[in-house]
Amino acid sequence: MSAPVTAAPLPQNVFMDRWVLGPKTQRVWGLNHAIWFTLMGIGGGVFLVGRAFDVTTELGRVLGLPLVDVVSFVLIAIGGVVLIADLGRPLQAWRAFRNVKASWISWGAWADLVFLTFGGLLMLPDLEIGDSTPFSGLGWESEADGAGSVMLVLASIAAVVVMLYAGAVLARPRSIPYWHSVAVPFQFLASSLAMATATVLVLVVLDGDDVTSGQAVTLAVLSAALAVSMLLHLTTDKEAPGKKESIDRLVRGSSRTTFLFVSLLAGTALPALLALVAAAAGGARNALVVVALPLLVVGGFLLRLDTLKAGIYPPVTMPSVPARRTRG
Amino acid sequence: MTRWGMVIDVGRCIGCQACTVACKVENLSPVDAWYAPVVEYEVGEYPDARMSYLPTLCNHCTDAPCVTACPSGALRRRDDGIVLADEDRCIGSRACMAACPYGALHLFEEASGEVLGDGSRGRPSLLEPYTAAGRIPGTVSKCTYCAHRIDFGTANGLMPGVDPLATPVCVVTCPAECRIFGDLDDPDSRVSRYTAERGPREVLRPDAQTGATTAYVGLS
Amino acid sequence: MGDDGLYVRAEDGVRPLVWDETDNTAKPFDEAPRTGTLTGTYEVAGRVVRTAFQTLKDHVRRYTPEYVEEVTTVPAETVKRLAREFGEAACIGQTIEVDGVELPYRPASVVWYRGLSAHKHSLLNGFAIILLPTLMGAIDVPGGLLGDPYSLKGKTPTREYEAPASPEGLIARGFIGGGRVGGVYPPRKVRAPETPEMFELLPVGPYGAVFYLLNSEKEEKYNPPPFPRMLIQYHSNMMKTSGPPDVIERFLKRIPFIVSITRRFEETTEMADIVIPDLHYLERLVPFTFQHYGAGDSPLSCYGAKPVVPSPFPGPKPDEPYVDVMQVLLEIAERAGFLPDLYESMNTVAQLKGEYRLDPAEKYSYAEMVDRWLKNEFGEDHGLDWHLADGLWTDEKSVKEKYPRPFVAARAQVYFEFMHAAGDDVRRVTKELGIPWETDDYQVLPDWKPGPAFKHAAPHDLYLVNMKIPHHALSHTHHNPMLRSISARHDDLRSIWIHPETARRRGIADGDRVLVESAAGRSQRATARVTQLVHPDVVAVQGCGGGWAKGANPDEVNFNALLNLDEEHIDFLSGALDSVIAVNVATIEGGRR
Repeated sequence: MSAPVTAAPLPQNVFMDRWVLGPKTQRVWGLNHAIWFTLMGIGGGVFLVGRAFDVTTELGRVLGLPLVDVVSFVLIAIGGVVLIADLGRPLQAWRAFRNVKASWISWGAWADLVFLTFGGLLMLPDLEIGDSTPFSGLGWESEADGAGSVMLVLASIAAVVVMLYAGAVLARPRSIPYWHSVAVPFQFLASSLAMATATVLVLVVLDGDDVTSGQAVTLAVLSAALAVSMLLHLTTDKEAPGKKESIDRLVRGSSRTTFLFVSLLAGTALPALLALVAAAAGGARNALVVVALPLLVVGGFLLRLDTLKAGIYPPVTMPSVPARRTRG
Repeated sequence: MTRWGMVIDVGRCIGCQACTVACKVENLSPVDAWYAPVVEYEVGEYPDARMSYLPTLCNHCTDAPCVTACPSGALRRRDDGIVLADEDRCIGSRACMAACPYGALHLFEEASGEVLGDGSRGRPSLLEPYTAAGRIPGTVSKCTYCAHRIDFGTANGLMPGVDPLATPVCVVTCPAECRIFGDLDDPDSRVSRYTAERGPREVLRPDAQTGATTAYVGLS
Repeated sequence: MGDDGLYVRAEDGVRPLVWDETDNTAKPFDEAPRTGTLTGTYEVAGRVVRTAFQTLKDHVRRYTPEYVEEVTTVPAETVKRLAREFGEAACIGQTIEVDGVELPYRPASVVWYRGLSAHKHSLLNGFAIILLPTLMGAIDVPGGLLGDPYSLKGKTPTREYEAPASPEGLIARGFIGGGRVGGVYPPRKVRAPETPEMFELLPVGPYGAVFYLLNSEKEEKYNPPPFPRMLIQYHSNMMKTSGPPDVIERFLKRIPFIVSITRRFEETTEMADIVIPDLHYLERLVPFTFQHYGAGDSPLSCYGAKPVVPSPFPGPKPDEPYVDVMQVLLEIAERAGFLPDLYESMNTVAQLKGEYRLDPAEKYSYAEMVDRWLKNEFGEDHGLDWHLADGLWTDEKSVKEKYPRPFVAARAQVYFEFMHAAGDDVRRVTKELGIPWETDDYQVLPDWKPGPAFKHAAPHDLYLVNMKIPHHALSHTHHNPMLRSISARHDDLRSIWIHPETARRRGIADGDRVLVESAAGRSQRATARVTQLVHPDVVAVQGCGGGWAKGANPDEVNFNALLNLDEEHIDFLSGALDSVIAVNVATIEGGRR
């Protein structure tokens, strides 16, 4: 009758651990999700920022394609692979497109597809294989004309969704109060744009150019907006059931170092400061921006990972005379 | 219009877990998944302290966050209000699991083992009937309100909530009769009358605004 | 009753006298009006006598609510409130009509189990508690304690109504505790022991199980009958159920030959010389797994086990598709040459009649025997085929069967006079045998006496008690993987409950691993659950986990391993083993789990 005892992971449904009332920390989403959230955020952002700074065509090419776009595509593709690999049934991933009426993941899947399709088509005429450019006659030569501009608009909208949707997935249901806030998708968007900006600016530096003051100011503003949003979210509804436990974890608990010190201070506030200084100090500007990139990427990744880890469900009911059990 | 629902009288529950076990046997839920666990909590201070029990299950929400979150359309709400998971369509994104405030969705993880008496985890025979039943690893499953019993009943002239064979097994099994099932849209159904007489009707996590059809009396 | 504490009886020396106020004389109970005089002191044949009820009244006067508070810590006000509520709830004087019959309506009941009876002085506890429903008239009437099994003799559909009374005019079966401690009155004749349990020395005891262990430990002191040379153990795990496992292990090791008929390897099975693997009840054919022919207002019912899942032991013949232990035993009987005797025994035990009797000259399969047994019980239509297809038999009871007390002429006792003679009997026989025996508790009215754990000196000044787990049936279900899994989720089998203040004083935090140690030096490891649900002086263990057989978990708390098997903890009247232990609880160094 006995069973061989083997090491096995805990069930992802935390409500199955102990059948006692109490806050429960979700185990559904973790490291893999933080990785693809981050990669897709940077990827979508780089595509847009390169164009916003009008540097896409200047920063070197790979197989004839703009380096900025290649970086964007590669990051999103890797993110997509991580996403699919993490599914319970990766081979059924195509079904993710089905519930586009309601599900943000479906929106994300469509956004990834639209981005890769139209972004890819947009670049295709430039593709060089050997000495030939087999797709040069496709009929759109510039993003500014006809079909090209339509594809640019579609790809750009998709890029915004790609940066945003992971946050929206968390924010839409009310199950986890810390997540159920516009702050979460905003932070993911701001973090994506800040990381992407820094990435593009590092490419500018690597290309031998100088970062402009305006570009540095943009980076400073994005990073500062993220930092302010993080602070605001930590200080609003602090006592709400579930959110209180999430904030405790982030500010005082096991995520204190990674979230408060690394992500918020070193990974967001410090880069904002560096970018601000860079905007004013012409000589050191390039160096400061290069330093800001790894800080932002680490900070952005930990923002996502710690946000996931701080996903705490409040007790399903709050008896009028509270339970005294401390364990949950 | 029929809209199935349950009301649970918390004060009547004795914590015997008969519903929990009956559900597992009836639905062959995966090893780690218990669709209808009874949660315990302590109330008060000695000597006015007591142990209370909270029978739980899927709340079959009118505005079900799991249905909204599912990217593949594997979760759907039937016209009679029952929320079902279609394992064939499920891709294992687990978005539904995170979205549900009640922990009502369960991933069938092949690598998982049963929690044994010593708190360790093993791989006992419980897994086998589940895979033998044709369930698909990597997918999510959940409480169905015993839809198979309800559908059998309505197809054979039985009344769910009244006739045992047409009623969710947790309801039928409860020795304390703390679960009452029936048509919420029928003011004369057992569930409607019970709520009218013993109410008020309360739901879990009212802040989540899910429109739960599983409700409670005596919660607070 | 007279000064000697005995009933004043009629000239026949049997029938107690009652006082008849109508003519101020004492008369045999069956010659006086039923509404006799309850209280008072009178003179009968030159002797000053009192009514039994007066004696009870005088006796309980010393147990004031304040005294109870001192012993139990339950506030005197609460004691008074409970008494008032119980009395009011009993609705004295009210009646209710059931199926056209007007009956007393007494919705007040007392139900108890091990919490009261697994103690030193437990029989006195039982007498005290049964007085409550007795005084309220709340036994075997609507709303009251339903339990006396005296009403039904034999089995339906051939059942007969019976209301046995002793020559003394008292209800003579199961009167105390509604059958829970059946067989107390009239006391059995005491004689020299022939069983290892020494049940012969317990004239009012319900069982004597624990004495076989005491005798095994102290043979020279108690001079028991010859030690058993063989043990057949059937579907039970003595090592987990009967007392401290180390004592039971010593007992089992002394038995030269042990046969274990079992469904799984358990601690006791590991001690066996021969193991006969048996089927699970879902694989077996057993005609009467559950029989409810007894007390209460629920219908009479009966059902058996039947093979509904394939057996792991396929049988040799198509009509016996599996091997059941009954088939094994029948074959052993045949090979040993006593199969005809076994058939005769079966005829007697199952009361087989007419065509259903087993002919010792014939040979029957187990299935055929079951078929006859069932038909004999329920009629020609209810044989094996019926059992396999349906198998549930029920029958509603009549009002008289549900609520027999108003129909019983015999009287209930509030004064346990028979204890006097029973005690004398035990003293005489044990003196003859030359063995020490405790007889102080043979008293006619109950008293509270402190158990061995009461107010023990520090540090063993906590009371360790045992309680059930709602989702387990004692320890019988501890092996069930589903229930084990539920247990793990409540951490019930590994935990002890301790009050926050008590835990704080001992430096124990919720979730700490702790050592529970009895004053006798026995110990168990546990996880502390700091909770308001328990008295500050009490530490509670749920169920009885632990063990060392395959599949058992030694990390769980084995409550029985903390029990003390000695004279101080054994009730010599009932054979109960005291299950409140004086313990200390302390953290295990580095014990945070």
